[in-house]
Amino acid sequence: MLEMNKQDDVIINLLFDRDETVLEQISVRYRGLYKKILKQMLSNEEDICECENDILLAVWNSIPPNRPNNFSAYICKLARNISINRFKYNTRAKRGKGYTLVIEELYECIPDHASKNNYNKIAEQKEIGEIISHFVRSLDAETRVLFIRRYFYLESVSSLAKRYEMSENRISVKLFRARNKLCDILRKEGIAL
Amino acid sequence: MKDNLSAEKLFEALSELDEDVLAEALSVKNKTALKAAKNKEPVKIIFLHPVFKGVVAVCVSLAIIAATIFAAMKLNLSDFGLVSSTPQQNTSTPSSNYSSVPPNESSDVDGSEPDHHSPTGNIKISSIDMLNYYSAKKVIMEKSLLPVSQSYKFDKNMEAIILDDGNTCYYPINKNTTFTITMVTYFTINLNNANGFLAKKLGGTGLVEVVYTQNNLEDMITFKKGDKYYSCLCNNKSWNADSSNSLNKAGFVTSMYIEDFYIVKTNEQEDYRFTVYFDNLEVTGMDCQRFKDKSFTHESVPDDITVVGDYCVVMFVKRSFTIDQLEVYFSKEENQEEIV
Repeated sequence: MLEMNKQDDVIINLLFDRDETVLEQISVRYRGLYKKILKQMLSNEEDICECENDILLAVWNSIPPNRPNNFSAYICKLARNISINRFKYNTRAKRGKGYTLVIEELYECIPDHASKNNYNKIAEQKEIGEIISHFVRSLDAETRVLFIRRYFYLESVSSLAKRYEMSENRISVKLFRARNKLCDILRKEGIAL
Repeated sequence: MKDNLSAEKLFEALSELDEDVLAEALSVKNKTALKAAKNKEPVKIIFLHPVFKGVVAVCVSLAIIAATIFAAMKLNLSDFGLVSSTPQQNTSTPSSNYSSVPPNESSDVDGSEPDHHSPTGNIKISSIDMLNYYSAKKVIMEKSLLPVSQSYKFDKNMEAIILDDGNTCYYPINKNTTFTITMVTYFTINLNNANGFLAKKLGGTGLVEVVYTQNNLEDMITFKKGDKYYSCLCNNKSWNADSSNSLNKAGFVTSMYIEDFYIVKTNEQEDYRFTVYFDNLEVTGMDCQRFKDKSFTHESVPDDITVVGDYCVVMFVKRSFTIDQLEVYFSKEENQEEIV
């Protein structure tokens, strides 16, 4: 089980104590992490800067009552959601290149038009999320890590290749197979997106 | 039609991924860590060819028959005082019979007092149902709270035995496993119609104890009526959108259920869904409805269930137990109660 490290624990305790200095600490410690996500999602510096503030505000407002088990994952989740919201308001020109590439890849997971007529439900985000959670857990550890880093954290294939000392082709093939598998699952579940 | 809007929806749905999975990916920062994660991976899927499914089914059936005969013989002998019997078990269905202790003072409305103890006065935990129930009970009784996040998540990698071309998964749980729970909800309900799903599983109408826990195996709900148990697993939860971000409702499906020390996930079983509604850490209601063919078109007649509001508790705590600890604790507890 992944446990939160001591520094995270300190930060969360400060948040519970409503100590405003914690925001500075969060910014110092996690800015690099969440800014990577923002940069992949958004191309406009002003948007990124505003989203950074939104993230800190969201952390401040949500902890307490929340006490995340893993603060890094928690803040990345917030960053992703906030940038998605910002993204929706933006024009295509202001959208980040990393995001566009990920969307193009995920496009392959969408069951095709021919079978869509047979689908009996339009899935809600929560429901799709449950299916994806099950799917992700069914993957082997290596593919799971690659899939999440690519499609949740928007890490590029070249960066993944460098990080894990694998060829880009090998990573692409693994992701391709995972996407196909997800497509099959969505089709079997009768999910229309 | 395939379009980017759908892909965007899929991308957004990834936000629903569990934090532990996200944290795992974050923690694997290089090749060495990836290798370690691969080696640590406990998920080992055993695909059984359909031919072997029959063999497995026969073996399981024989084991059940043997266990039943053995239990019956033992019961008869103990009736005559020839052996000290252990609690009677029915290992054949998800809803099983056990000798056990209820939490606190609740008893059946229909007057049939359950067999709470084995003849020796000891508690024998012989299923995940009981493990879940007694762990929750111990937390409630001890009130030794170590608060945790409402969204606390575990790594839940378990070895699976998949039957029938992947339609049924059996996850055997080691009896020596440490059972860790991070949330306990306890409340009672009244089953009002005898033809309802739960009434059939639990042997009739009346008062039923309900325990819902978030734990290291699966989030599960256990219904206990007298000496009968029925447990199934959570498949969705929703949270209040307001600043409290507290649990709003939890849904459970009977296609994922408990059978002795197995977690069973199947596409074939009758599929009922339970929904427990919360309001500010209080249980406010519960539904039980049938769903057809995995679709959300449900039948119009739900089970007639009333939540009894006189005793309800929702706790976010983290406590770990082994079966041995629980058995010793509750045997001692029972002895103390008898002395008092």
